[in-house]
Amino acid sequence: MATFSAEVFSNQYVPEGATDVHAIVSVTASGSGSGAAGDYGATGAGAAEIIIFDSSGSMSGRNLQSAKYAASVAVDQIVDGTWFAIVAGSHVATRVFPYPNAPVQIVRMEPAARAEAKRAIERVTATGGTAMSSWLMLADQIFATVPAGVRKHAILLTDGKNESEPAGNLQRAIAAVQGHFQCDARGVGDRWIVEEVRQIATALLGTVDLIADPSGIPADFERLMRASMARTVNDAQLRVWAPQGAQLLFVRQVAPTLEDLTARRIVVNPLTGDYPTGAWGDEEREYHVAVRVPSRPLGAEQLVARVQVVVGGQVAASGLVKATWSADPSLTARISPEVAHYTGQAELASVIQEGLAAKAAGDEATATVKLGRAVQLAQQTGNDEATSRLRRVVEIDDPERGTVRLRREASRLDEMALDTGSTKTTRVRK
Amino acid sequence: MTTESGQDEQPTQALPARGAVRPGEGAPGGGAAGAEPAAGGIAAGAGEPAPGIVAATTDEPAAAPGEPGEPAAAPDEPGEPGEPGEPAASADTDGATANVPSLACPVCGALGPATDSFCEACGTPLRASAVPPAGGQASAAPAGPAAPATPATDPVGAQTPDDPGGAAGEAAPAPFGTPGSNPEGLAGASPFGTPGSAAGGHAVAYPVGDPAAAGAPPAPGAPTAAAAPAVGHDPTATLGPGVRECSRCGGTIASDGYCLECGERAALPRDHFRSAPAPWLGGVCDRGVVHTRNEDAMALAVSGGGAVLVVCDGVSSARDSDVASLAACEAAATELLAQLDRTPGPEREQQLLDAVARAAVTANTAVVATGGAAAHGAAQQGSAAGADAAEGADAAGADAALTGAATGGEDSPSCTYVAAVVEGPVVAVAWLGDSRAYWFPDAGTPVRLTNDHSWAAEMIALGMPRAEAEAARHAHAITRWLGADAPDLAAGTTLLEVADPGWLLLCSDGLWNYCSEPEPLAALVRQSVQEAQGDPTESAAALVRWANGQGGRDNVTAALARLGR
Ligand SMILES: [Zn+2]
Ligand SMILES: [Zn+2]
Repeated sequence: MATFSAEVFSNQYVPEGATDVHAIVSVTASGSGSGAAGDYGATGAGAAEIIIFDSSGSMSGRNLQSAKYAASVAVDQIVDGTWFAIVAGSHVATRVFPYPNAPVQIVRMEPAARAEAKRAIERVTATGGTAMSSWLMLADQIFATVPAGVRKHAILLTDGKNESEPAGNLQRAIAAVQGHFQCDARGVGDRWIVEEVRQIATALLGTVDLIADPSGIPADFERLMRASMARTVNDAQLRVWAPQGAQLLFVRQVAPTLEDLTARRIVVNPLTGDYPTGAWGDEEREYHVAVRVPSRPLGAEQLVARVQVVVGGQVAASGLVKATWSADPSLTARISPEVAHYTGQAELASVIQEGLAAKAAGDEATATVKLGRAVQLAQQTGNDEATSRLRRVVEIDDPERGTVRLRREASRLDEMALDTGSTKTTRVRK
Repeated sequence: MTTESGQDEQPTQALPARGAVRPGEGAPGGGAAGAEPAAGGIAAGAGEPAPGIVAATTDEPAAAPGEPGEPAAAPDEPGEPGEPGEPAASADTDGATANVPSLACPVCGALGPATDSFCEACGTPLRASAVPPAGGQASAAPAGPAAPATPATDPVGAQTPDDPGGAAGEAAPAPFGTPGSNPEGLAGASPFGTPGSAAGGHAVAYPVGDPAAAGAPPAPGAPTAAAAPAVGHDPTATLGPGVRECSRCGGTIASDGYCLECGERAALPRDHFRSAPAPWLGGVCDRGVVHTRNEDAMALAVSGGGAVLVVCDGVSSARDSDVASLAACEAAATELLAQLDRTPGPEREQQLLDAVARAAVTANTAVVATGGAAAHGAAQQGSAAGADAAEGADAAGADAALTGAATGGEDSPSCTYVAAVVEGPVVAVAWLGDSRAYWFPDAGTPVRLTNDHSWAAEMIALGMPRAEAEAARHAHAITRWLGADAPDLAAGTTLLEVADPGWLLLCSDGLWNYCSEPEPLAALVRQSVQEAQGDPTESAAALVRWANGQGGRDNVTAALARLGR
């Protein structure tokens, strides 16, 4: 039986006249795989998986070989009893397994199915263009045949640009399937567009990553599938209440990756909104909530936000964000280290993305300033991974002051790695 | 009509003054609040029943009929698996409310049984409407794009027997399809279907512009099925028994101790309490906004047709004044209640006046005793001595009172006093300090029944111009109080004969500081009474809320009695 807990980090004491309150809420799930009743992983009956891989012409050779092998490795990770299907995508989507003429669109894993699925994967050949909307729509159609309450997850792998359909198709497809299933998206090589693939993963509550070399695909797929199998808690919502007269400035996931959830609010009542967070295993995620309330007299204390985790309509954990207006500067001057850290990490992500966009547009001055600021923030927040990714794109003269020069020889792959990695955050050093 | 007495003693220039300047007395709350537990999360289950994660039983798809993963079930009736999503729709539509949980439609919000496949109101497919895994549909069609035009949510279409894919499924009734042209020789005997001769032939491209045709269940842009919160809409659902009301906005206090509407912290019992001893008598005593402790106190009681009202306001600069004020109220009320039960003498009015003034002395003894107990307790901690210390506390307090040796100088607990005894048409009032009594007749002129024992009031009585007195730094400092260092226990007294119906109000300065003159205060009371539909406790609560709305810089107490009814 999974249990959730929530911990709030903020400075409760605000100075006279203050209106904005920031808090980091750390949510931890545990015991998701241990209980008999809650342990979907053991039987797989509560999960459905679809592996979608690019089979367009550009994949021919090592990419397709690796993708097919990776799909087989992922199939090995799918626990018996789990619903599963395999889709190959080009300018159209093809159900590889169950075979197109099978009586059902998705089957439950068992040894014979596993063996036959691998044979089916082996038959796929590279041909055609890339229209990812069709991939998502076919996956959605297959998932729709699964019984209610089953957790649905897909892995999508591509190597290229979404070039075989009008711009806008992909966004419409994403909007159409959003909320139906989760999807981790992966790009292999350096010919895919980070923004395209990121929007799929972001909207479908998954992760995005770059796999520089096809040899890295199998290990990544294995990891993704194993993680998905461990997420036995389906469909958790982050529920945020703010008092009458307050304004919820934003709700962000800040760890392990950065996602702005603000626009995903689903109204529960005028003071309360739900933000879908997808499936959970044993893990910790952190959220940054910012609320603006009317200022109160010195000494007044009030609750400015209730941050809760809701599973199956039940509140599973609750964190309280409070404010006390105080005249004591020794209390009010303190900034929560957690809030400061994640504010820095959020800025880091945006300056990296803005810097790379400026560079791509040929605006080197802006790119230098933005990426310089990124180096400074990565240093300050101890994000060493970001620093090392930045180092491949800029020459760092002074990390403290953020003085950098753009590297002429920076490869597209390095820039894409910096871009895809920009939303990965580090935790606060405790 | 009122008569006054007890003001015969002339104040001198060397008035003792107690307490700092009196609104805004005491330190701002911030410092003391620091001692409170810092903001922190509460783990699931802290204080409420730990809601674990819903057990698998409800989600367990094994219970679903016609599950496609079971080859044994399928072979001879490929059409059968088409049914599973349906049973609820036909059977439970009416009687759904009995056992079936309801589910809000994600699009129109209408409630329906969770087992419904479609919203009755707007037709949106609901989460529960898992599309039945149907044989031979869609992607098996050689026609490609044409086939999926059959909505996946349409079980009839999915079962169409002349669907070419369905035919294929029938021909090879296997869950995976048959690898008809399988080069590895699995041939038609294999239950896994045929891989197909040409990828293009079996490929399905979906016109995204028309997601419905592609079988995407809910309309794009609609709130997703995953988002439909089945339960938990009602925020009060999380409330346990003993639902409390917010002292600031009147909203409901949640089980986490904060208001569901405005976020105000639930008052501790000492911070906010009410008393409603009779339908015509009630009061509210509240911490206010700024102070961290409620040092006001109140005691109300009825006996026979009579009533006792006592309000005391602890002096913030003194230690444990919250304990002192409550002790004073209770001691005075107990004594006055006994007086009410006594057989009236010939000069009953004077008897009541004497009693209400004398109760101040009794209250003073109680206050001093609390100081003695506190002082003794501290001494005991220091010396780690006597087991009989607790018993000695009262004696120590009495000693201190007798010798006049204040147990802690400025620190000794102290409070103001205003009390009223009501018997028939007679109201006897006594006071020390600046807590007040007012009489608001329904018809006629509202009056203040008390004269503050404050520096300003006493200076004005001595002839100082009002403006000068009230502008002075110590204008609000009180000159009489209850406590070990009380300079004078002679209470001011007033007798009121009630001829016509009206409201008697006793209050602390936390209320009258925002509205001191009888006329506007009468209007405020009238408005509160109207809001509360004549209930005295609710009217007092409205007065307290009003004072808190003005800033709540001090503790607020209001007690109301409906007289002459
Ligand atoms: Zn409230
Ligand atoms: Zn007061």
